[in-house]
Amino acid sequence: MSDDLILEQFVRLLDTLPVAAPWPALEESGFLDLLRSEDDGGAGLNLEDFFPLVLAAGARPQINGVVQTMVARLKNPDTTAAADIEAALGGNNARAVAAAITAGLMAGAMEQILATTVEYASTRKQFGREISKFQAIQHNLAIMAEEVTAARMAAQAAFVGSPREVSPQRAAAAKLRAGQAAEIVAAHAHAIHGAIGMTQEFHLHHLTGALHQWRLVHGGESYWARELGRWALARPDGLVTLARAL
Amino acid sequence: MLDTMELTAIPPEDEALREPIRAFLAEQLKSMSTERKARSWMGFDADFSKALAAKGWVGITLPKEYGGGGRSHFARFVLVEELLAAGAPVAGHWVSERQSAPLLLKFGNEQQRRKIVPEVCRGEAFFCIGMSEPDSGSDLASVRTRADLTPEGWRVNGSKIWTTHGRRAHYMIALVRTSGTPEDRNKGLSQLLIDMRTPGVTARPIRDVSGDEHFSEVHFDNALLPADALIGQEGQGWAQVNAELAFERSGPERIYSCMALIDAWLDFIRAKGPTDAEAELAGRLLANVSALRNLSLAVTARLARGESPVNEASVVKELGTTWEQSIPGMITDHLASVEVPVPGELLAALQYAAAMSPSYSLRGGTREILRGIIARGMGLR
Ligand SMILES: Cc1cc2nc3c(=O)[nH]c(=O)nc-3n(C[C@H](O)[C@H](O)[C@H](O)COP(=O)(O)OP(=O)(O)OC[C@H]3O[C@@H](n4cnc5c(N)ncnc54)[C@H](O)[C@@H]3O)c2cc1C
Repeated sequence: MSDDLILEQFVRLLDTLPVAAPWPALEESGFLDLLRSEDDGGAGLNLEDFFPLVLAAGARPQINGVVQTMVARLKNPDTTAAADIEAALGGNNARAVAAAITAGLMAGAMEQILATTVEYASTRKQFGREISKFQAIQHNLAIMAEEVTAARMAAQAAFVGSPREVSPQRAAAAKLRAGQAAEIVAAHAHAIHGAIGMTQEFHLHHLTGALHQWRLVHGGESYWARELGRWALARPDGLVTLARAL
Repeated sequence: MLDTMELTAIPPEDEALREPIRAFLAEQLKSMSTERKARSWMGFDADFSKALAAKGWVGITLPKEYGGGGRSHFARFVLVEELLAAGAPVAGHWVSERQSAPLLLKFGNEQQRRKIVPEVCRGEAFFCIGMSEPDSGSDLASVRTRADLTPEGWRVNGSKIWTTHGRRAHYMIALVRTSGTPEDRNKGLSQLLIDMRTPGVTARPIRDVSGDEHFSEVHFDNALLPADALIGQEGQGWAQVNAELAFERSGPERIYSCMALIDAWLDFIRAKGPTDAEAELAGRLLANVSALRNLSLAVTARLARGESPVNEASVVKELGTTWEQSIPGMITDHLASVEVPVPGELLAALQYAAAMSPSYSLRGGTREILRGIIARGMGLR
């Protein structure tokens, strides 16, 4: 199957799953074994090809644990509904792997928040025109787009190679940058949505709520900044050389 | 919506340029102070620009038949990255190779291309940018400097301002009105190639906040230019200047203005031994520059494919300048908390960056103007 096709089918699956009981259909789909090697009945997906799936899952936080389960199955093939990759994988690099995956989920959620907010701003009218026509709103949407772009790029940079071998420095930069963006993106999204965004019924809070939770797990910004900074300060190099070595 | 920016690696043949460039810079800059390194892209040194050109590193992306290096935009990325990381004084050739020569190649006549582009590549022709005027900043279409075609050639009257290194440049590419009035806005504008030695052209220095005289105001008092000083088509100045701004805004240089300061700070922390809070700040600096660098490479990949990714470049510039502007404040806040003496060189670099950092989001288009471009790219206006 081509990568685009995998993504397309994955998205279709996520969008048609019964939210209350998604796991039987997920089990049956075969997607949960995608990361496992072909010898073990999986597809041996590398991180580059996994990234779009993680973004798609991040954009659909109502069904939590799908990509987490895919990663956990690298260790234990019988896992379902895994929530905590770090605990499921165990070992040295588990926190970095979990942080990278979480950064990917956050980037996916933020892309969706941006799209939702642009759409809302382009339809909601006040003072006789769409609120997206006001310069202040345009500028805040531009800021959101900038932050989402930076977070996505930082996350993508951690999705290189095989799933267990995530670079801890890249994972650190990813989780840190995504967390930094999360605060700004969530705040502007809610501001632009006004009161409707504060309701249980409107879907925005699923996304922003997941974002805040993801920010908190597997090490937050300060934790990863410290780790990354210690690594950097143990080397003699300037910032550009360090960025290249990451 | 904006195009997605994808993670990109520098091709090995371009990455291979890095070592020779580093060796050259280590030799050239070995006695340069941190304070001068902090000036980097405002730093003017004609000898340095010539020496760089002798290596074939000025106009590296320009076609070989015009004296350029014929290399890809990734090669320029590596070059610019190393120049700015080392704090090299790039201002001499900066504008000419980044936007003036590419503009002449795109719109100029064959004589302008044949004569001037090779001069640029030899580090012999430096350009300044003649866009802003006293009453035309962000609203560039309102320029008033006027050029009239007479039997002897173009007669130019008016003035430009904030012209970086206007007194040292050999040429200016000026946006002027060749028909109509300022109320006609972007109709009736043209670009002229102005030899700065032309009688009636005077450049006066303006001292900037750091005490340097990089800025200038340039006056045109009935200056007479040859008829073939016109670049491209008469009346097409607006479209052309936007192409020029695309060259100006798409490069990787908008993320590396503070490197001398950051590197001096890292060295200071290493020497004193880092606390948790210091490691954290180092980590934040690194994570941010790493993301910006990857974004800048994604823009470079688009340039290498011959595209003009104006919206995406605006995103990177806006993110980059916002981040860069936060650096002097973060470092000031930290240094105010330490109890050991802070090296004088570090303080001098900090003082320069703190004074100049507001300009990062003015030059090349203000923050508000860039956000407007991004919003347009998102389909909001
Ligand atoms: C270091 C430096 C080097 C420079 N070098 C050159 C050079 O070599 N050649 C050259 O031609 N120019 C140069 N400039 C000038 C630069 O291009 C202008 O400063 C810039 O275009 C802004 O114009 P202005 O300073 O007149 O500000 P203004 O346009 O007057 O803007 C003032 C404020 O109003 C805001 N504003 C303006 N219009 C709008 C709007 N529609 N919506 C919302 N906010 C708005 C701006 O964002 C800004 O915050 C340089 C500037 C600096 C700082």
